[in-house]
Amino acid sequence: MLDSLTRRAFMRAATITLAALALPGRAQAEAPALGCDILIVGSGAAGLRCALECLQRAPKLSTVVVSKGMVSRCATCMAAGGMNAVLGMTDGDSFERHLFDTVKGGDYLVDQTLTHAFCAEAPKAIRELDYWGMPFTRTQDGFVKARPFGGSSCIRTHYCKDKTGHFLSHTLLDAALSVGVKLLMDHELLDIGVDAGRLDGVVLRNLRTGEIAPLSCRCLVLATGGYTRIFWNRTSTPFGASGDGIAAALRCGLSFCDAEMLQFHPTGVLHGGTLISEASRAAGAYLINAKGERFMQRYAPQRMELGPRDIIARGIETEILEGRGFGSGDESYVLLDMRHLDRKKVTIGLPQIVHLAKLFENTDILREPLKIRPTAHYSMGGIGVAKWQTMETEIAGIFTCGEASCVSLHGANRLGGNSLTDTVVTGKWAGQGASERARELLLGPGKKAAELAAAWRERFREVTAGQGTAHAMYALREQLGQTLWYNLGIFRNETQLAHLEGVLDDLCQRYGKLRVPNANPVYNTAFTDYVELGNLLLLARCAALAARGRKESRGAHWRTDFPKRDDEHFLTHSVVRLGAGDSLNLSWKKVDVAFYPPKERKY
Amino acid sequence: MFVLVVNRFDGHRHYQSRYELSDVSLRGKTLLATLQYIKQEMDPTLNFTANCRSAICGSCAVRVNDSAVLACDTNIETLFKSYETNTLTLSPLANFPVISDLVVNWDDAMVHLGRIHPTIVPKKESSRESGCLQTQEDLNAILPAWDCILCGICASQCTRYSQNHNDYLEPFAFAHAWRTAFDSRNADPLFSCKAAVENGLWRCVHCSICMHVCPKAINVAEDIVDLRKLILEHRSQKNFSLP
Repeated sequence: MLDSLTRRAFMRAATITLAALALPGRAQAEAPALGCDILIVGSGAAGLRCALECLQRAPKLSTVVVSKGMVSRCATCMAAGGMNAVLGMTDGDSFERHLFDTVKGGDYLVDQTLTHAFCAEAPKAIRELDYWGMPFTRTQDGFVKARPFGGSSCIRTHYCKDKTGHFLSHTLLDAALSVGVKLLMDHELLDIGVDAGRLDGVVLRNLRTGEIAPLSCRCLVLATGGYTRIFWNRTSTPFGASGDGIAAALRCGLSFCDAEMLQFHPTGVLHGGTLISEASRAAGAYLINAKGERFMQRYAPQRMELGPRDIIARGIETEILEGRGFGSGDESYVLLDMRHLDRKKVTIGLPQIVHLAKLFENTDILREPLKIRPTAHYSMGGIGVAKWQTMETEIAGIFTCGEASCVSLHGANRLGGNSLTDTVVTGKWAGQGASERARELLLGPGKKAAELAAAWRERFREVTAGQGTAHAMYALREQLGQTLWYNLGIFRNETQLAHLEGVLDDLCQRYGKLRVPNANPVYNTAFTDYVELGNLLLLARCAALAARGRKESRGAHWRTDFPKRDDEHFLTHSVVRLGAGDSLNLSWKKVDVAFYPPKERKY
Repeated sequence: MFVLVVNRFDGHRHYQSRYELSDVSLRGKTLLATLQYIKQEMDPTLNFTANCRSAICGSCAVRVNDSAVLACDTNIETLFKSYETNTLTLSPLANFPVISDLVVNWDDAMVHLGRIHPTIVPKKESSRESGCLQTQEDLNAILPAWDCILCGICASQCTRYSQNHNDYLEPFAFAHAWRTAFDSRNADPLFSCKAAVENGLWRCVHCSICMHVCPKAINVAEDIVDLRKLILEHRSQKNFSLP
């Protein structure tokens, strides 16, 4: 526990520095030892929701939220569509229907018992957010309103304009500031110390000073988001979505589940892959090929443009591959047409879409169709969870939530509108778990974390010394993204994946020799890019290994050489672990099908 | 040939760097894409922050010739054209402590926002289990200020805040107070007002620069007027000590 003096300093401010976390009487040779009770890494919706839960349940424990920049710069704020939850049992909707849609959307790779609990928890989460002041579009009677969404059989996606995630992240940030959540900004997670199977501490890099320090904690929550930046320039997610938490978890012995399950969103802008929300299609937008056809009639004749994301993304790529798209090569695209929609409704209801079309393609979406192509969007895979009720991992005291985790709620393909709900539901579960666990666990001795910190300091010195060009590093990152897009993209096969393995080995070797020509420790973003690239390479290797091992097609994972789902052999989650000498081990874990046995998936 | 001059800081020393860019390298780029090009091809030591590249996360605000903009939302060719020049100067946001180059420290700004207590006080008839009731009209009334992305541009350009950081707040903090106060779900609209008054609500000089520079066109100056009216109407209830 903190002593009374530092405790007062700690209580006073919304933002803190590492100095506020000094542990009395635990000074090490060179610096004071640092620690807190619960450390949450990541300040998106999952991290902040978790922090609010910890503060409410254990107000006397010190809970700190770390983020590698300013707090609201997260992937949550980019989410547009909405939040799935069954609020009223009208129109025959029920938790079971929400569960079934999620299971079917996830192509039966969804663990059903916990997903049933998730569906039951979802309406509570929405009402609680409403209670905290989050803006929601309203019905005539003043209730929170829903709109139809891809893959959902009932109308249950609650929203506000096309900025639901932005409103969610700022509601949680405002709530966090109001109740006194402590923010440690501009600090990057480098590693997690685990000693004899026990959480020992973490290694943080203070970006402002470059200081690399070990920090002890009773509980650690990894809410660091996904890893879709492995596709670098062909993703909708922010630059920071480099899966730092998942990579650190792998390095400390935790598992990475369903690594191959990466969702491609059908509608990214052609240049740069920024997302045009599914809300566009929910409002009635058409997808059009070069022959002027609404081609979704070939792939999901019932649901058309509101089919699930994996099927639409494959539909678009098939049109392009079979010569019915526009353009060629990297410049291939189809069109998203909104011209037939009510102009006023689009301008008022979907302002972000109008804005993005103008910004990236110089297109006035009210007057002309927009060039789009699928873009990597969401990581269904993530850190393996041992107990979903608390989101605790296999190592006592380490928890995870949100996109960084894989419980598995989204299976092989996440349903639109389930991710924001996921952040607040699993964030709450993790907060409950961590605040309970923190009462019984002792603060780790910090020895292993100190060793890892020393190694990172040495690595900084080594990498930033000597000659090198930044160009080499950024070219390597570009090549990683391109190679993955073409070999681990929407369509995959054995030849591509075998080739990819070779390329990744080569990229890793080149990465090992990289030098970053900037030795200044102060906010060295080139070194941050270097660390993130290392994480991306590790996670890409895991995804490639699991994709090669999964010899079937399921959800977002489509093998042209195994075009059928194979429930006999692959109704299992892939589990990747990091072994000795940087080797990777792949194993499999059974899926929980407590409610709905697998059936053919048709829309 | 175009030139970007960047006012830099390496933690110890202030200096300038000059980057010469060809017409071709600028074509179709945003200011953010140009900064990334400089970092990746010319000078890896240049520091700036960016995340969403779609004007929703607020990371990449910088000053161009002293006028703050979102780098991801600003076309570089248009920028040179509108200033009728071949040379532009980039600086970090004003009124924030500078950490490095174009990167600023948000610690104090978050403390200030927290002071406002930007959260509604729920009504008796609302509950965590049942949520709240609100009409679409009442929601629409507060939505403009909910567009705030905490980019810091208003704070950088604010006439009053530039004069004194100690008795006034970043304008966005008042926008947060406004959206809380005027939320029909709020049982105590004056709760956030109290902190606003104590932190300089009456010191706004009404130049309206905040509205003109806001990338989301939030009219903070008008929000401040609304808050003052609300307080004057209810001052007897709450014993506000007004300046």
